[in-house]
Amino acid sequence: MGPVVKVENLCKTYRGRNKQIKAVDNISFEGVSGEIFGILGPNGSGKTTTVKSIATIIDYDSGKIFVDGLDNKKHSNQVKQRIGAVLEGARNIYWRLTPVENMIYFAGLKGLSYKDIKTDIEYFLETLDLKEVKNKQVREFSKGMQQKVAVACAFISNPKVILLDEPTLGLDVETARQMQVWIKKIAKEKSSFILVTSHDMKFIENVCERVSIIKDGKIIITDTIGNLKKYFMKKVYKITLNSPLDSNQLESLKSSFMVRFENVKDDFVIFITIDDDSMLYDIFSILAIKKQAIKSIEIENDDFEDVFLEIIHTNGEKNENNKSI
Amino acid sequence: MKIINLFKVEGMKYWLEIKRYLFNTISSLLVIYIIFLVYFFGIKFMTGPAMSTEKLDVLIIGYIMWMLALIGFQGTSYLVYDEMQRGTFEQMYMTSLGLENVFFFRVFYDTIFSIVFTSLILLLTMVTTGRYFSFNVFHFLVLFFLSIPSMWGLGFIFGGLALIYKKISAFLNLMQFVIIVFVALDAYPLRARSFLPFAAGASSVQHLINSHGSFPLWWYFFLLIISIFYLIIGLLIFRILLKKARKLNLLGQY
Repeated sequence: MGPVVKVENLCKTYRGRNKQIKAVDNISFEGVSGEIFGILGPNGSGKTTTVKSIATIIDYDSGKIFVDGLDNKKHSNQVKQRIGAVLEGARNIYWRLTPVENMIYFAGLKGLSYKDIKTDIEYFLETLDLKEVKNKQVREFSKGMQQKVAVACAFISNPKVILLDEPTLGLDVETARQMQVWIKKIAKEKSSFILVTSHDMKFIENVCERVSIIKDGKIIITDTIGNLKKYFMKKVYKITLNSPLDSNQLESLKSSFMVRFENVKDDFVIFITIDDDSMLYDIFSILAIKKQAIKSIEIENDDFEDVFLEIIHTNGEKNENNKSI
Repeated sequence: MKIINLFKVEGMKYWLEIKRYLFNTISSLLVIYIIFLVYFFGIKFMTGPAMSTEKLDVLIIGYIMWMLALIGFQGTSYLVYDEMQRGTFEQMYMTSLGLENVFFFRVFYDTIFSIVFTSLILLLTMVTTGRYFSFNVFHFLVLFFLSIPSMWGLGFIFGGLALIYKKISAFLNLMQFVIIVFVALDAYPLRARSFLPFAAGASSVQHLINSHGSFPLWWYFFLLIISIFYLIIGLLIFRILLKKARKLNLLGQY
């Protein structure tokens, strides 16, 4: 199965009167049908520019984007036919129309009739819990409900590619979590390629199979969530002692490890972040100087947010030999 | 078939928004009714017997022509402005059937709605005032539809400017007066000013009302060619400005 989206050496620079901003710098990636692919990056890293370039909304400077094998500059209308999008910060839907009317309208923009999408309308009303409000105007809805309608409209023409730019932005935690379930379910049943950008790490972690992490317009790394966790996740050891360390011990630990200390009641707690368990021997040898009694040792793993921050701060340059970029 | 589906959903959306922005729709129609009443009663009152019946008819038809020309112009220019304000322009741009077709269909529905409701209000005004006038509606519509594409062309130019500069309401307001000039110019028979957008068409309509006159066949072709010329120029400029807006990532910003 060939890629349904192929981005090759995409570059985009915004030129102002006094300065130039390189928003996207030589980005390449591809995705296949049925896959949910994430793009992660700090603000201004080029996520939205990438998404809008694929959607033909932005005219990029160089590189190539193929959607379903079609060059999106040469065949923009055919490409638009194959894309549905929920764009960041935009309303995406018409507030004076009902969910059903919005779906009919957006299908019409792709040349589809009500008859063509009748069963899909029922599917989305059911899947997204919109049945009870199907005849209410969208303006009466909460932000989460409106976002659901926008997602339904993006999917309604059964496009091969779905672009979701910050789909959980402004949603409460519960709705954002529900959105994960819906998107995974719809992706599975409709077998579209879904490209998601989000600041919500939990969302990306739970929804995406692979991610690209971008910074300053460049892709630092592309891999599966599992591999990124494997290569970048650190362990935090929580070591509880019955008495505090002396100043030499403190200095030794501080100079060699990422460490913080806490006094909890009568106990002295050390939090040490390490990525190699063999380092524990070095820690124990420092603790052995004064022979403090160790009351307990607990291990706490980083979450994906810490992994993301680690990759951003190290520019993905850890365990270089193990990475499958 | 796909294009017919687009045509249908544009009609659906247009009609639903007419109904759901009911206050705006009713107040717009009410304004037209009041203006007609002012024409019928007010001008006669102010000018007394000096205003002949024919001149009043020409004034009313002139007003209708101006209003329809403005709707043709705004159908394209204001549409961009409005969709950007709503934050839906990028989604509209994502149509696979050509952004210009969306514009054409919306302006079509706008024009048909305006013609139908203006005619009804004109009839209502005649009944209210007890003063009737007649003209060849079919001939009027032929002249109007041959001339209106030039206004769509101008609208495309201003729509393109709205993509880049966003707030162009001052220009849009100014254009109302410029269009009055186009409508009021005496551009029939053929002279230099006949080449201005909509001017020849508006003058032809006034000639039709004034003297119930007819036109040589080439005149209809002339109206069509002038219209198509401005429409093509408008579309070309719109496409250039759209490309520039896409280059600068301005489609979604307001």
